[in-house]
Amino acid sequence: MADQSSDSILENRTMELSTFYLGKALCGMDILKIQEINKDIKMTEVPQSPDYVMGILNLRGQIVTTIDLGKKLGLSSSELDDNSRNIIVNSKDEYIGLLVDSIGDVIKAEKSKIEQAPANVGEMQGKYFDGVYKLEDNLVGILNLEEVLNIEE
Amino acid sequence: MSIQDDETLQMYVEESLEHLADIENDFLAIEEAGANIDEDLVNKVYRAAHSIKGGAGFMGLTKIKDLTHEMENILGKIRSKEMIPNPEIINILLGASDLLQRLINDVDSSNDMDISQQLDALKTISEAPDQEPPSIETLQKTPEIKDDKDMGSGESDLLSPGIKSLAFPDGKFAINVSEDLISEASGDGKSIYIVEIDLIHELQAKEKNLFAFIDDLNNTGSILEARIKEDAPGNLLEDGIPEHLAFLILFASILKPNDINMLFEIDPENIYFLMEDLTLSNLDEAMIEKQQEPDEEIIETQIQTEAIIDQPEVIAPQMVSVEKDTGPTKETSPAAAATVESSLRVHVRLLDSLMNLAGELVLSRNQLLQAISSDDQRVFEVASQRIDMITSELQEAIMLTRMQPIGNVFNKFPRVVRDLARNLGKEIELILEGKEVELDKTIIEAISDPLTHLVRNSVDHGIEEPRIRQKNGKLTTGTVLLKAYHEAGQVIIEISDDGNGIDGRKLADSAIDKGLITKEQATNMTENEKIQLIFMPGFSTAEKLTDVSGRGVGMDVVKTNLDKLGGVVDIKSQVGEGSRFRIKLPLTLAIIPSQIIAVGKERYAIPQVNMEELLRIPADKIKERIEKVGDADVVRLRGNLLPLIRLADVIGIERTFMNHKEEQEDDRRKNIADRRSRQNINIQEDENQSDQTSSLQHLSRNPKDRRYHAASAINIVVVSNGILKYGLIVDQLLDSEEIVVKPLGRNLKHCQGYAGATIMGDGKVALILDVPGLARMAQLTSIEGKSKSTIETQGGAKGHDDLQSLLIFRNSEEEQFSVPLGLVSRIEKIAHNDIEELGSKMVMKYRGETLPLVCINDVADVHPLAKTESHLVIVFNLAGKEIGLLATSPLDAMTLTAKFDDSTLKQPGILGSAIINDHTTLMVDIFGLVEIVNPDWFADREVVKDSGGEASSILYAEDSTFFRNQVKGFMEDDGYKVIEAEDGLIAWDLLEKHSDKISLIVTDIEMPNMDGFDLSAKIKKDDRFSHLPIIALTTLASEEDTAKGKALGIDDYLIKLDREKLRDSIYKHLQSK
Repeated sequence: MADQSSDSILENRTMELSTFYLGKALCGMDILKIQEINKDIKMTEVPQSPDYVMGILNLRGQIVTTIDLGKKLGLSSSELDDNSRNIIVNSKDEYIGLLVDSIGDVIKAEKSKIEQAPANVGEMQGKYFDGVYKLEDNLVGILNLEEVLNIEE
Repeated sequence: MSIQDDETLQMYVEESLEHLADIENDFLAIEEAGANIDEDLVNKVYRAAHSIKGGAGFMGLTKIKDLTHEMENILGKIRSKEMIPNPEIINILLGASDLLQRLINDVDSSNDMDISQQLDALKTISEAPDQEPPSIETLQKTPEIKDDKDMGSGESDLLSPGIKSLAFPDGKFAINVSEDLISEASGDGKSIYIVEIDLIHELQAKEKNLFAFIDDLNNTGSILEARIKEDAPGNLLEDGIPEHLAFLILFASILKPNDINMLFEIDPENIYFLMEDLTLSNLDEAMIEKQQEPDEEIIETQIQTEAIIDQPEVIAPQMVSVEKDTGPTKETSPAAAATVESSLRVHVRLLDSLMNLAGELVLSRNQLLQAISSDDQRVFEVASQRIDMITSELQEAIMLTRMQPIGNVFNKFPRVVRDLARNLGKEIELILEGKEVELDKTIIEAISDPLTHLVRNSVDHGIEEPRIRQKNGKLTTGTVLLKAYHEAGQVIIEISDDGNGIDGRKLADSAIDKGLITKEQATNMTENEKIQLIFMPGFSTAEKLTDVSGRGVGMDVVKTNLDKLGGVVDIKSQVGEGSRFRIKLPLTLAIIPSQIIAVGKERYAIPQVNMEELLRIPADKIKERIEKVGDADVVRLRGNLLPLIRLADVIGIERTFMNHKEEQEDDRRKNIADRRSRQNINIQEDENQSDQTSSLQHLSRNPKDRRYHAASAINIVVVSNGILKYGLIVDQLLDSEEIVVKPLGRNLKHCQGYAGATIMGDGKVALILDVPGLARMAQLTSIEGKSKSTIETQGGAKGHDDLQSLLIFRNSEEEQFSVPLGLVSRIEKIAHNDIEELGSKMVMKYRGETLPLVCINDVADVHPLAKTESHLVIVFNLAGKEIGLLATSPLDAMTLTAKFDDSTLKQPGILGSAIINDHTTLMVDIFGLVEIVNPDWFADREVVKDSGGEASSILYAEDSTFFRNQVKGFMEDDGYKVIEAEDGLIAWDLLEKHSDKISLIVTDIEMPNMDGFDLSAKIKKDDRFSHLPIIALTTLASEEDTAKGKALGIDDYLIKLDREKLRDSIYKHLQSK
C-alpha cells in the first residue's frame, strides 16, 4: 500500500488510484471515491432487474445495489470466488457495489502522465474511462464512475 | 461575515412562506367579514406582507418588494376602513399572494419575472378615485403607513422632519437621530437596535478588526447613527488607556431580535431594541414581544409552553422554535406551507425525550458489552430486553417528530373551493374536521394532490348548481365535508358532498363506450362496482370537459398516487343524495407491518395493508378449488372466483414448490389446467370418483411429478389494492414482521413489481412487493368478478361470441341437455308417483290444475328418461299454456359462450349441440318438441302481407350461425321472407339496398363491427327507416339493456329462441304498422 501521508506539494499533482482486475484487465479508480472494499457477496437476487445487476445487499443498514462491473463494461460476467471483492462507492447519494474479480495495489499516479483513453480499453468501450495510466509493466484504465453508473434510458 | 449568503436567503424564504401559508385563509376570512372588519386579522396580514416586503428590500428582491408594497397599500386602506373588502378586491389580493408564493419559491429568478399584470390590478384598486386620502391621525399612529404613502404616492414631508432623542429603559440619554431615518428603516421591515459595544473588550480583546466589524454591519443592515458613549466608566478624557471604550451604534437590520446577537456576539444586555413607540427595551424582552408579533397563532402555544420560554437557549435556534403541542391543537397548526419543505419544526419536549432515549440506549449498550465480555447470561438477557424496549420507544418518538397535522393540507382547500365555486357559479360551504390528525410528513406531502383532485371533483361534479338544487328540494348551498380521523391504527380521510352522487349506470355505459369493459361485465356488476369504475385508467366521468376537470388528470391518477402511499380508496354514492370518498392511509411509510413469503430462493415482504387473507389449499383439494377460466387460473373462495397470479411467473423466476427439497417444476400450471371441466356439485360421488381417476392418470402419466403429494399444497396470499383483489401463489408463508422500508437504487427503478427493500433479522435483504404493480405486470387490470359468470366473461369473451344463460340438465344419466334459461318459468321437483299417464300423454297435478308433461325421448331419439324416484320438471310457458319437461339432476345454470353446432346432432326436438364442461350437450328445441306432441297448441297465424300482397320481409341481423339458422327457421316457418345479415354493418347495407321491401327488423345485440344498439340507433335516426319496427333478441335480457334499448327506440326486447313470443311480436308489430 502506498504511503498515505504523502508530501503535500505532490498531492495536487498526483492522485491515488485503487486498482482492481476485471478478467485480465487492470483498472483503477480514484481512491477518494471509494467508500470501502469488502468481501460481502451474499446477495439477494432481484428478479426482473437488468442483467448486470447482481443483487442487493445490506451494508450496515443501507441497501446496496451491487453490479457486476465486468458485465456492465461488456466483458463476460465475473465468477465469484475467494478473490472477488465488492467495491462500495457512493454515487448520487446512493451506495453502489462494484463486483470485481480481484483487487490490486494502490498506486500513486502523476496526473500529468494520465493519457486520454483510447476508443477501447481491452474489450471495454473507451467511454467508460477517464484515461489510462502507464505503469512499468502494465496499463491501468481509470474508470469514469459516473459514466459506468449512468442509467441508459 | 457576509450575511447575504444562501443561509439568510433560505431563512427569508422559509419565513416568507410561513407568512404566506396563512395569508390565504386570512384573506378569505376578511372577505367573509366584509365591511365589519376584524382589525386583528387585517393587522396580521398586513404585518405578514410587511415583513416579506422588508426582507425583499434587504435582499434586493425588487419584484417581491414591489408586489408586497402594493398589497400593503390596499391592506392599509382596508385597515383604516377606507376600503371595504369585497370579493373583487380579495380576488386580486389572492392572485397577488399566489404570484408572491411563486416568486418566493423561485426566489433566484424572481427579479426576472413579469408581475406587471398583478401590479396594475393592485394599483387600480388602491388608486381608485373615490378613496379619501388617509387622515393625518392614522399616519401618526402607525409610522409604517406614513412611510408607505411616501413611497406609493411620492408625497413626502407630511410630518416635519425632526431630531428625536432616544433614551435607554432606565431613562438615560442614548442617542439623537433623525426621525426620518427611523421611519424609513422600520418602513422597510427592519428592526432597529442600539448596540453598546466596548471597543476595547469586545473587539480588540477578541482580535476583531474594527473596519471588518463595521463592514459586517453595513452588509447586514445600516448604521443610522453612532457615537462614543462618554459617560461610560472610563472614557477618553481620562489619562492612559481607558478600561472601557463604549461605542453606541444605532443599527437597523432585517435580523430579528432572536438573531441579532449572531452578529455582535456580546452580552445581550448591551443590545436594545427600538419599539414602535420609539422607546428602547432590553433585547430579552424584545425577543418575547417580537415573537408574538409576526404570528398570532404562536401566542396560544407560547402560553402552554411558558416553561420553555424561560430557557433562553431554547429560543435562540430558529428551527426548534416552540410551535405546537403534541396534543390536539385546535387551529394552532404550524404555519408550515403545504409545499415541500426542507426543514421540520419539532417540539422541544420531543427532542428532550429523544435525547433521554438515546442516553438510555447508550447505557444499555454498555450493559450489553459488559454482558458479552463477562459472558453472563442473565445480564445478557436483561440488557437485550432493555434494548428491545428502548428501541421501540425510540422508534415511536422519532416517528412522532415526522408527524404533521393534516390541517397543513386541509387549510388550502377553503381557497380552492371558493375559487372553484365562483367559477362554476355554485354556492358551496366547506367544512373541515379533524385538522389535528397527524400523519407522517411524507404522506402529508404526497396526499395533497390526490385530495385536491377529489375535492375539485366534489365541487365540480358533485354539487349541483343552485337552481338545480332548489328544484330538487335541497338547500341552494351545497356542503363539502373534509374529515380526518383515526381508525384501527390507520388514518381515514373522507371527502363527502351532498351533491348529485355518482350514477353507476352512466359510468358503466361510458366504460363500455370506451371499450374498458364489455357489456356482459357491466351487466354482472353491482352498483358499487360500477361506481368503482371511475378509477379505471382511461376513464373520465365528465360529460363535458370543464375548466376544472378537463385537466387531463383522471381519477385513476388519484388511485395510483394513493396506491403509492399504500393507501386504499373507496366510494359510496347515492344518486341524488351525494357521494363519499373514503381514503385509508397508513400512519407512516417508514415502518410497515408485512407478511413475509418465500418464492424460489428469496424471501419477499407483502405490506399488510394490501393483504386480505392467507389461503392454503391442501394437495387433495387443489383440483376442486382451482380452475382455469380462459387463460387464467382462478380459485373458488366462498362462492367467488378469485384470479390467481403465480409470483414466480410475474417476476420471471423459475417455478418451484415446496417439496422435501426444492424442485423445479415446468408444467405445473398445465396440470391445474388439465382439468378444464368441473363436475357438478350436485353429484358428490361422481366428483370424487373422477378426482381419483384423474389423479391416478396424472400419476401414471408423469411419475416424476410429485405435486399431488401432501407436501405440495398451494399457498395463496389474497391481496387487494381496494378495487382489484387477487391471489398470489407463493412457495412458503413465513412470519409476519414489522419492516423498515428502504428505497431501491436507481439501477432497479425500472422493476415495477417492488415497492422497496427491507433488511431481515438475519441481515439479508428482502424485496417488498408492490401489489398493484404486480397486478399491472400480470395485466390483471379488470374489475374483480363477483360471480362466476363475470370471470367467464373475462376469460372467454373473445371476439363477439354471444354469452348465453343456459339451464343444463340430464334426461338419462349419460346425456346432457340444455335449454335457454330465459324460456324457463320455474323448476319443480316431483316424485315419480305424481306422474299420471293418460293414454300416450303424461300429466301431473299441480296447484289444482293439470300440467301436461313431455319427455325429450317422446320426440327425439335419445336415451329414455332415467328411472329414478324423483324427477325434475322444468316448466315452460308456451302459447299461453304451461308445459313441463321431465328431467333428472344434476341441474346447473351457467352463463357461457358456447359454439353450437346445428348440423351434426340435429333432429326433431333438438336444435343442435355444443361442448359444455367437456360434455356434448344437446340444445332442446322446446317449441319443436311441444309442437310435435301438441300440434294444436300453435294455431297457424295469418302471415301479414306487405303492400304488394306478398309475405312481409324481415331483415335479420345475427352473427352466430346457429342462432341465425334457428331464428330464420322460425320466421320462415311462419311464412315470412327473411333477409340475413352477419352483423350490423351488413344489415345496414342490406337495409339500404332493399329499403322498399323490408318491413321489420330483428337484430341481435352483441355483434362485431356494429352492434344491435348502434344499428337500431342508426335506423331510428334515419328518416327513411325510422318507421320500421325493431325487435331485439338477446340471451341476457337485463333490465338495463332493455331500458337502454327502449331509449334507442327498439320496439321489443325478446329472449333468443323464444319462438312463441317472437312470433307474437312480429305479428303485432307488422299488424299495427
